[in-house]
Amino acid sequence: MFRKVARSYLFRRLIKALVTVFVMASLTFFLIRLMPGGPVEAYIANLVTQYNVSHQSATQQAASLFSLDLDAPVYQQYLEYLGNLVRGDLGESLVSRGVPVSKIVLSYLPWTLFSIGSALIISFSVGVFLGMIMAYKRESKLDHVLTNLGSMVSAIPDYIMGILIVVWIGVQWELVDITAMRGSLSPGIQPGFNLTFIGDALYHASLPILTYVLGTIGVWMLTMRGSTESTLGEDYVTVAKARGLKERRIATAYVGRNAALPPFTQLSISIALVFGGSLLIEWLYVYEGLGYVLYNSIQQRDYPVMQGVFLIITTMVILANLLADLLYSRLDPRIRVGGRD
Amino acid sequence: MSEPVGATQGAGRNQVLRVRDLEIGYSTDRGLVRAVRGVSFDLEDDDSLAFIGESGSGKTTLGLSLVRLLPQSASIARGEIVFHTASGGELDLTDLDDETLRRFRWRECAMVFQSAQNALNPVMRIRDHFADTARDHAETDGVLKGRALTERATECLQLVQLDPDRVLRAYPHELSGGMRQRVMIALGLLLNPRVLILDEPTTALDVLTQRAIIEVLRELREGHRFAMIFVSHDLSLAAELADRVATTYAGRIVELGDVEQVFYHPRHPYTVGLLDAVPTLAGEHQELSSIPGSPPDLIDLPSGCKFHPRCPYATDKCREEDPPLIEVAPGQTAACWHWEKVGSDWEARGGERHERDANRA
Repeated sequence: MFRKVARSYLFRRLIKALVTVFVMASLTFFLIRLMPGGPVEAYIANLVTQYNVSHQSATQQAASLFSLDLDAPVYQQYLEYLGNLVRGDLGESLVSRGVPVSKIVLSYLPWTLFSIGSALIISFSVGVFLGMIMAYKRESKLDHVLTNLGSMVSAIPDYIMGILIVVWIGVQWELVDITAMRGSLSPGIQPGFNLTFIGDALYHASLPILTYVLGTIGVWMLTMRGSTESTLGEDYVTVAKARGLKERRIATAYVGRNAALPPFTQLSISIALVFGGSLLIEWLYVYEGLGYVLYNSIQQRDYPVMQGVFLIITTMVILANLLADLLYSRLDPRIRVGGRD
Repeated sequence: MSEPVGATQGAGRNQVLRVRDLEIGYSTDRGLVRAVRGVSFDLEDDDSLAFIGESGSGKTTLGLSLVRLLPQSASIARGEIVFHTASGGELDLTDLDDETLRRFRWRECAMVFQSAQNALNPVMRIRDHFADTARDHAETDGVLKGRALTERATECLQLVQLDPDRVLRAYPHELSGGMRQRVMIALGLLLNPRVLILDEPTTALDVLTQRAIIEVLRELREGHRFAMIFVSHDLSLAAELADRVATTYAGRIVELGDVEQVFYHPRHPYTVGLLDAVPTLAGEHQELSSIPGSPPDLIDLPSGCKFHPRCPYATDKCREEDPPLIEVAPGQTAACWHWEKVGSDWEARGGERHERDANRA
């Protein structure tokens, strides 16, 4: 019976995720068509101004390129779009002719996932750990210093944090060679499961990761500090002491385990924020991930790529949230039953 | 404070706890809250002692001090708490290093708390609560795990009339309030402690569940050799489960004696007031009376007898001099200058009626 509940919770959660993806895909479709000066006009205008071709020949070029009947009713275009989407066809890039969008997106996606994923894992575990120390040593000097640092870093927007890192660490103090760190890999490094590759990947991702960590760690520290403080006042902690449990066991299984639940729920929100922020951060460090692709495609008005990146980012955020939710239901047994009705 | 009377009767019983002249205060912005003032009592190894009194009379502070779980703002100013361990050693509870204290807790003296609703870790199964407790006391008891642990936990849960198979696998939120309270009692029995402290064990439970818990405790009392300390404002609980009753007022014991003596022949006006405030379910209409006024401010205590502002017997002597515990009958002490008058008034008022009520309760 318990299994059935868990399964139905998972099932309901999956349905919810799918519906969200569908709504997002539809919104992206209509949003792009609602933008003033659609992709075709933009392309034609571009040809006319940049290459001095006549308006008529530019129009012909555009029509053949898009190979989509732009005069067809919107609902027909929409259905075709959805149909293609189900088959995993996101169209072709306008700039790099003939290259499927899905191929572009999939080749850049791992870098974004890698940098954001490791950054969130690092910042969450370090932040939660520091938050707990702050609560255990509350009102101490360490607590005050960390609290102020925490609220300071979380008050600075991540792109400004990125610029500060570039200016100070890269340019003024010259601690790292900021130009050599561009891109996601050094030239000549072959992907593979070896130390050189992993080391190089980390080297190139280190500044984006540092930025994401600094941008999010304050939240974990402060939330964890607060929730640890209130958990310390819980009866089951006092009772655990009365039961003569060892201090370390109480700190981990009783205080830490329960206090980590509130920051963990914030993880879902943060995933979306960090994904959104990655657009500017990747551009700033010239880190070749999805954000970098999106930035370029906006510059070049490469609509299919833009659309594809949007879709994949939202899908990733939804998947990450789904994962976080499922993990949460493992962490907090009360949720599992709550999902029944 | 004088030696408490009524402590050592009967041969072959061993003392487990000796408390002398205990003073505990909370430091607050307004000043020192004197929560426990000069409390002395003894506990034998099969004794059952109930502390009764209004909220804020220092009962819970007293209970917490016996397992050294007082909040940070509280400190033991004076007095001694000596615990005789199962192995025959003596522990001075006011002066223990952290590790000795940790091993002492639950192994020698377990405590079931007032708010058992939240006493279990919400993310852990009941079985893991038993396992945790056993594991961290493995130095003293040897490792109890696997099947041996399950057997012992099953035994404890059966004693409190729970279905072990279902309960051990459950998470706390899957159990009702009464079941959780029983789980806590079972958990308290796991290591065979010498003393079990129960702080308001039935508060916040509905009447039927209270009944069930009292039954469980009564059976435990009959079948096992360990001492119990109840802290409660519930007189019926004390009447059913205690051998001796200590009435507490403003942080000190004002009357102490066998349960029959205190409930049927009270000699302190505060005890009388508490008894008069208990309603009876059946029987003839009876006027209920409450004690006028409210418990004193523990920061700024009245002079003399702390009960005098609320006491119908108060005289000038009461306002000036705090009475010591006076032996009013063999094994019964009361801290009242006018205990004889209180006693004769009570008996004249028809102690029989009260006796019947107490029986019913």
